[in-house]
Amino acid sequence: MKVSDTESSPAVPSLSRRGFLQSATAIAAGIAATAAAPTSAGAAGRAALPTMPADGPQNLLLRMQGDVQRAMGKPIAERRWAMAIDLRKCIGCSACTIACVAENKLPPGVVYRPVIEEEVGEYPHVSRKFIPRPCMQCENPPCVPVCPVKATYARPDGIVEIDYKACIGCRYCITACPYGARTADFGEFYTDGTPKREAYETQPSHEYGQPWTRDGKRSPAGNARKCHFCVHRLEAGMLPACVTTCVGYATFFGDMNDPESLIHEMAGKPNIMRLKEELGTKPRVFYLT
Amino acid sequence: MTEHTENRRTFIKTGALLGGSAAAASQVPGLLTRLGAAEAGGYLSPQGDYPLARPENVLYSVCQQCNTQCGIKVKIEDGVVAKIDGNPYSPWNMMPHVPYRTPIMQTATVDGLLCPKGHAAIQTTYDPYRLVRVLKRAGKRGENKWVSIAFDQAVTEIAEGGLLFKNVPGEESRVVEGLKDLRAIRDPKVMKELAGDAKKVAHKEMPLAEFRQKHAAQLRHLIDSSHPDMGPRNNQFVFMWGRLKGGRGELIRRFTEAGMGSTNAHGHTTVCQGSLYFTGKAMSEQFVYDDKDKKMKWTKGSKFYWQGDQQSAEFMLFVGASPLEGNYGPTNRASRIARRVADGDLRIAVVDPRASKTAAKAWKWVPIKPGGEGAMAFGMMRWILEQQRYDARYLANANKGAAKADGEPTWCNATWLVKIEKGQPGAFLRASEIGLPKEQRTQRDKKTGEETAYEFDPFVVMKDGRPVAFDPYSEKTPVEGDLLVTTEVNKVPVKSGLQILWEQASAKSVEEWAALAGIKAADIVELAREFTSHGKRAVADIHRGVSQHTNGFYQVFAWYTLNLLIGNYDWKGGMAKAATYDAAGGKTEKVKQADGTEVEWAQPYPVNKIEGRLDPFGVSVIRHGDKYEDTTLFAGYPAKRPWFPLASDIYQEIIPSIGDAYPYPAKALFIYMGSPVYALPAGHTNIEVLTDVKRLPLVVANDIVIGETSMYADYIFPDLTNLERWEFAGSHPNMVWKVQPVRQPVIAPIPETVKVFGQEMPISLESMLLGLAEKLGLPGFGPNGFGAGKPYTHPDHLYLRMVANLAAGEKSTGALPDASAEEMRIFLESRRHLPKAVFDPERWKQVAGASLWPKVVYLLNRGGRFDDFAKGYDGDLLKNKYGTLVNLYQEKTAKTKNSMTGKPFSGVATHLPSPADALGRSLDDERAGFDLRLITYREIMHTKSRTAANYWLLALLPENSLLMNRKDADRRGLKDGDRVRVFSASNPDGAWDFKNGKSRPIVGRLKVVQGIRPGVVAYSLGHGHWAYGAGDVVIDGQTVKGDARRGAGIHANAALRVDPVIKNTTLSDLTGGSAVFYDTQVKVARA
Amino acid sequence: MLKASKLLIPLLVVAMGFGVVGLWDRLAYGKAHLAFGSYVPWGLWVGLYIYLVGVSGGAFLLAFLHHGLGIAALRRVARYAVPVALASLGAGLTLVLLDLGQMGRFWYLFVRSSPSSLLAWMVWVYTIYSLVLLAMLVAMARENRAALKWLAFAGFALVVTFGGGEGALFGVLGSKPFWNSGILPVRFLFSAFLSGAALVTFAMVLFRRWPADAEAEAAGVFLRRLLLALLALNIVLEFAEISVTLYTGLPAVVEAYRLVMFGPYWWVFWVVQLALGLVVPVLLLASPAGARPAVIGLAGLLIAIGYAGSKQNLVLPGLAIPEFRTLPEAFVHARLTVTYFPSATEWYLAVGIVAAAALAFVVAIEVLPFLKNHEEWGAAKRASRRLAA
Ligand SMILES: Nc1nc2c(c(=O)[nH]1)N[C@H]1C(S)=C(S)[C@@H](COP(=O)(O)OP(=O)(O)OC[C@H]3O[C@@H](n4cnc5c(=O)[nH]c(N)nc54)[C@H](O)[C@@H]3O)O[C@H]1N2
Ligand SMILES: Nc1nc2c(c(=O)[nH]1)N[C@H]1C(S)=C(S)[C@@H](COP(=O)(O)OP(=O)(O)OC[C@H]3O[C@@H](n4cnc5c(=O)[nH]c(N)nc54)[C@H](O)[C@@H]3O)O[C@H]1N2
Ligand code: SF4
Ligand code: SF4
Ligand code: SF4
Ligand code: SF4
Ligand code: SF4
Ligand SMILES: [Mo]
Repeated sequence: MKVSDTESSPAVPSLSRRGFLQSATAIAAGIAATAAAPTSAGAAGRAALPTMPADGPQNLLLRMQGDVQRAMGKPIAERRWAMAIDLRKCIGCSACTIACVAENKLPPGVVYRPVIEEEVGEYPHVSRKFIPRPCMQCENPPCVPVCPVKATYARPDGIVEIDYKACIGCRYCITACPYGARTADFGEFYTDGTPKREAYETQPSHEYGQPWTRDGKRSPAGNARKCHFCVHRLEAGMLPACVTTCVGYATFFGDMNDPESLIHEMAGKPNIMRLKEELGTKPRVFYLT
Repeated sequence: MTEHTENRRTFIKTGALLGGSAAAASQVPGLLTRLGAAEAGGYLSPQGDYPLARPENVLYSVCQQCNTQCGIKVKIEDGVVAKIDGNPYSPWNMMPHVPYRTPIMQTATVDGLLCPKGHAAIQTTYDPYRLVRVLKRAGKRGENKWVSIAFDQAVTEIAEGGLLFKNVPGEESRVVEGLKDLRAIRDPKVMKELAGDAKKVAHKEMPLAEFRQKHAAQLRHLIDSSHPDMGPRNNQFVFMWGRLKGGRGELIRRFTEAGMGSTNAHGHTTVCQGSLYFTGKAMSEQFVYDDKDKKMKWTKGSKFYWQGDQQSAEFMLFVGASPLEGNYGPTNRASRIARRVADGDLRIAVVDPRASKTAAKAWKWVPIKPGGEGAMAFGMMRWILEQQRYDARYLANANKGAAKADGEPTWCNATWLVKIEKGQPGAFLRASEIGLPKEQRTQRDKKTGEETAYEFDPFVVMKDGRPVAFDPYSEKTPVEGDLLVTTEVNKVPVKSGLQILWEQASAKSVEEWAALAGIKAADIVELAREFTSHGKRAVADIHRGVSQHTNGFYQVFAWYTLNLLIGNYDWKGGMAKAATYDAAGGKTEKVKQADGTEVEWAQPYPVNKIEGRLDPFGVSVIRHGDKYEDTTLFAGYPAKRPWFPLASDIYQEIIPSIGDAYPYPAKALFIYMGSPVYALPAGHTNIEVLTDVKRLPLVVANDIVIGETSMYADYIFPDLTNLERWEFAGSHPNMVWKVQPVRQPVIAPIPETVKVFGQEMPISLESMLLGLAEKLGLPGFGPNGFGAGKPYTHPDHLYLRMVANLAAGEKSTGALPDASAEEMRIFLESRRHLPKAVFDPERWKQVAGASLWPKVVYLLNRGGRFDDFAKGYDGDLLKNKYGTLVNLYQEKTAKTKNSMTGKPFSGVATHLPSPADALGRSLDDERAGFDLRLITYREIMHTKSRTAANYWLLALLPENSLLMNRKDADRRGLKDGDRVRVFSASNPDGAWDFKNGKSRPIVGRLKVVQGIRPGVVAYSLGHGHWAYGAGDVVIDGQTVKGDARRGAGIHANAALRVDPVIKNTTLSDLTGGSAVFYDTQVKVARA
Repeated sequence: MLKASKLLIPLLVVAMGFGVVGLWDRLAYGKAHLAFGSYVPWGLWVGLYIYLVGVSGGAFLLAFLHHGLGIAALRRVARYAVPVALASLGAGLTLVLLDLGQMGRFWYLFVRSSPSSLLAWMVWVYTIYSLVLLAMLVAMARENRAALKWLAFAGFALVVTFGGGEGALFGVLGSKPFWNSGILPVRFLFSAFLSGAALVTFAMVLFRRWPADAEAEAAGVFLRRLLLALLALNIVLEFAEISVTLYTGLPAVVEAYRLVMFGPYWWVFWVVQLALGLVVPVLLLASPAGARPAVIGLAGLLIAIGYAGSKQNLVLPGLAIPEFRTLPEAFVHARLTVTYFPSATEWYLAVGIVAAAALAFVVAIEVLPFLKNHEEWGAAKRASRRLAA
């Protein structure tokens, strides 16, 4: 399936209470259909997830991974990925930043999920605030319509994707993003200027489920790049890399169309907010404060 | 302004020397790993599978970027590490971790958490500056001119010695003694006899003349025949290390002690958190029978420490500890703390001069005055004792029986009566001293079956005003005592331990203690109230900020005593200790058989049993474990350099002591995975000795790159990084599960492959030591290294035995299940990229034994052995217990003297002012205008040396800063971003002098913040490198350009205070051995 | 050959040499040696591109005034205006082409055009506009007045479209408060008129090959008044913009203006943009000396330079305010900063391409007969047409 329209699909749930209820029916249908519905490539023949003893504390990662696998059993248009980041739990370790760099083989100058830090208060009443900033996968993404070659678009599941094979690298989308979430790949290597280019730098990145081998000229060099909720991992029934590595267990992920999912639960907390709400971009990344 | 001047493709040809022939060797055709990855098509339909999700591309091992030793899940593509994630089987990396029995097929897609350094470890291994061949010095020490030489040449030269540096100007005629010369005594029997008689001489039980006569033939093998207790010349071989874990630990001791016969094998404990360990040791000493001395004494104290159980505590008070940035560690602790704090299950408070990231999550941040931690603990103790908010029931238990009756796994000696000798608390009162009988006991020797009679003189408590004698370990006769006792028994003035503590605590008011700590009395009270409001689920968790002061031992003692007041040891949510599965083997069990007979079950491979081993003797170069007074070197007080009777692994003493030839000169120094020059406070003092070929004739380093210390070596052997090698990583005190993470090779080795004992293996610590052992013919190595017909000719011979021990377990019922056929297949397939030199299933199987082999596979498939989550607790108690006496009063310590002052150490926690010099005199550099206190700390994304090579992490923090409070900056007219220089009384030039004609000013960027106590400035660890690929080196005549990115930032260790008495080493804690990081006053000026 | 041409050609050739070096670097090393990055994704080239395209439009305005609206005084001016418009358009488009991350895919702009993207529309507009310009050259060569008139109107419509569109390209970005304004397209259009007219004025004076006759004088008077009027209009628009946006007090906008006026490149605003580009030309043109061709020419040059600066001052500060204040410290790289100064490669190529465009213009007016000897050429053409008839 190839999606070329630049609008997000009408199935996008609004983040009102009503939206949640509406999507509940969709989910019920999705679950029922799991067995019969055409499963995604990664879902086929997948081993069951480990089972945790019932009496211990909940393993949030496994629960969310289950949520992901359930969602992947549905047709793409019925999933609506979202992320929530609990700022009270975020310890500002930047493990997510680096896990993402490693997972996606990001070159120098490209970053998908920096963690922004600020000091608050005055001595001796001081604290520090940490705000991880992935791509918001805006429901109303300003980065999309500006692209002159339709190289970036919202998928039916809400992920705003960049087609590395189509992007001409004009960087208009970069200026259009109000979150600074897009960065340009200038084709560099971390070991530039050292005695040796290391093997890990030319290994393929598996973004969007395809091997992108790096030589500094070929795409995604020369392209705009950004977080894609690790679609390639979702396809394999895995959680995004920043979620699994999150040292504070501060990052939640799942299908907003699934009322059973942990993300659905998180999005209903009273302390939820979104960044630059006033711009009307409708981010699919929430923050708990 | 931005400028991009780096050359994209500067492939400097450095021969096969740097960065590895590696890549080619370690890559297998991509086909295997990218099965089905066809040409790309539409973007929404991924092409083929995601290779990193397949179990065949996953290997479990252990991180070592920092010392937390997390479990890792290494994903491999085409033989290259593609990604590292957390091991979901490891309790470090998933909360709760998945059940151990989960088949690896089910965990392939399950990733555990990992800190940023863990992810970036890829760049430590794949580092363009890594060494792949042996380097030999071609210029002066430290000049950084090298030639690469063959492994065999290096081994031969080091073993045999000779005119090794005749090409270096000034060293044309310098003959270097080889290791064969230093291995003076080779006969274990001779060694034993000498050891016994030397001890007699030291204890004045044998006249020196008699010794000399008796051992005339051996005198030339002694370092100093008039001081036989210094030991044989073998001791002039010194092996020092930084980070060392199981497996390699066994190897190094086997080589140094059993093989070379040297007593000088020393680690880095004191630079790390020394006094935590040695207070732990002193508090865990037990009064039991000693096999060697054949009598009862305080012994078996273990070098360990306690931390809080963050999985279950309700309140944690972190003092000088930052589990969200450093500590053990950013993964297992931080994940639990962050989650539980936000969920309202845990409340934390942080006592730290700096608003750490841990403080960012705290209910209360107390910016204490550095060094005031002990005073604060006493303030809290005073309030708690006064308000009687302590656990009286716990403290009253004098022995095991009483503790047991209360359901307490531990007990302490708060009630035991201590004699007041000359006004000072001294030894415990004994039954015989008040006319009660001693017990006559016998001890049966396990091996010989021989029975030895000995006496036990019971201890005494006061119970309801009457003395009661007791055995601390008696379960049959529970004894409780009165808590606060001051009295005379048989005219002997005595006090209970708690009374002595109370006198310490009540010497000052809460306000006075608060003033000493530079904090508010109200904070002390509030924290004390909170601390005593959660039963046993509160804990004061301390770390380097408490221990690395000149009064470190007593500060740690005070905080551990505070924990004793609520009796939280071994309780869920209280004080915990590490529990590890034994890999070294040797555990035995009597197993009753069906017919009622007993058979002995034993772990299969006791690897530390070494036939023909030497048992070294003599005072060590760092003078540890011996009392100054009990040696022939005793010459009144102060000693020339301090002695450390209660501590070991005194890192800061190794090289400076060699420099001073006290207690004796050394001839050869091996340095493994440690960088004292960089890591030690005032580490620059080591350079002076390292560059002096007279005082230190031979220096051999084992390193992965040319580091800040290895640059001064004569030879550098490349090593394998953690992704290429074996180790048994152990655990940390806050880990409540019993574990043993196993580090194993997950990629092909990057250094060259060589032949030792006829076997192929990569250049590494192992091949270096095996190669030397082969040349020297050391016992414990070679075809019969593990006993007749059992070779130790390949690293695997040791490590697979150790894995087999783990797989067999510690009990007859402890064996692991066998790997299934599918797991066996994956085991082999996932190692398809490993060369035979490191992975040979036949060799492995043969070493492990056919019956254990499937269990070994099971274990290696999971990266170690980990107890399941449910096994962490035992009801409200910890499952893995300390379970014995905790010394609130340390008799052994009270009976030990400070070698510099001649005064006895205090047996109870006490407040000592800091900073103090080696003579205990207060230092007051502030008066000389050094108006700021300099401290240091960890950033989550960096560690000492390795992360300087991690470009991903450098992007997070390319340059560290000197943190300063806004008020201090304003007062000095300094602005954020200014470049500033740091000066101290012992470094008035504010510079590192590398003694190679180069120097570097101690300059860094100023960061003006609110989150630091005014009057204190701080820099983080891990930046400001000048070696480790940051500077230029010449190899085989070619210059290898350094990478400026690796050298950015400030490393102010050279500004840290040199002890004014000892003069060539840092300030130290003479009781606990800590090297001192936080007691230096500095001046800061615009650079 | 004109003296000015003789003097300039070697200079321009040398300048193009820099361009060759820059081009080699760009092709051999990709984008490694370019100083812009991700938080400042557009640099000197994009600023120069919008300026040059604006110049093209402004130059065209003069051609339109003559060919379209029949203002006779601009007869000679119109002859130079068209090649100026073509050369500057070419230079501008070359710069954006070089700026693309995947240069080889530039043709996707035509085959994958996105209807929602202003940029995609602009590409089409430029393409048609460049065809119009070429057609005008042909029509000029043929002295086809009817065609010229049609083309002038068509071209002018395109100029207004892209002149405003240029501004809209920036103005629509809600992400960049500094740009995000309704006046921006209008401002762009009129600043384009001004800078283009100014540059052509300068060219008229520099490459004068006609007598100081009444026609020349009339042209001078017209240009002087036009420039003054456009200057006044621009001042009003800019004032409106600044006061309106500053009044809203959006911190990012205030910060951007602070940067423009007091940041590290304060001199661009005060010296280049304000003093050279505005105050001095106004004084020159308004003073009695303003009647002298040389003075008008100088004023034109100054305005052209000043507006080049003003375009840089629009693009860069808009980007210099990070989306989140401490974002650049979260992950540090030279391409993830908001400070920017063009690299050598960028300068080389910018200089080289502008020089190439100038050279193209000089060569055109020296070589193409209908531009070179246009007084005679016109007469000859008319004669030959008469003959044919
Ligand atoms: N300013 C400041 N200094 C500190 C501290 C601080 O908080 N602030 N903390 C102190 C503490 S807690 C500690 S534990 C010490 C640690 O101090 P050390 O134990 O001396 O450790 P490193 O400085 O990491 O030195 C490691 C050396 O080993 C090399 N190396 C790295 N990996 C390997 C390997 O795999 N094999 C081999 N053979 N070599 C390897 C490195 O190149 C380097 O030369 O630092 C202390 N120094
Ligand atoms: N990221 C990272 N983590 C690591 C390591 C690493 O290198 N990097 N190394 C590991 C090792 S080897 C160790 S030993 C542990 C160390 O773990 P910790 O001891 O927890 O870490 P440190 O940062 O050395 O010191 C802890 C805190 O003490 C504070 N401090 C400094 N001076 C004083 C003082 O005078 N008084 C008080 N109260 N506090 C003070 C510092 O600001 C810091 O926040 O970390 C381990 N974990
Ligand atoms: S955050 Fe930025 S890049 Fe991501 S969808 Fe929104 S506008 Fe686009
Ligand atoms: S950089 Fe690529 S994705 Fe972004 S607007 Fe340009 S072509 Fe589209
Ligand atoms: S979801 Fe994936 S791509 Fe996005 S920030 Fe997380 S790790 Fe990076
Ligand atoms: S990994 Fe989690 S805790 Fe760490 S910075 Fe990222 S979001 Fe915060
Ligand atoms: S805390 Fe980080 S660096 Fe340390 S061992 Fe764990 S993953 Fe490695
Ligand atoms: Mo440490």
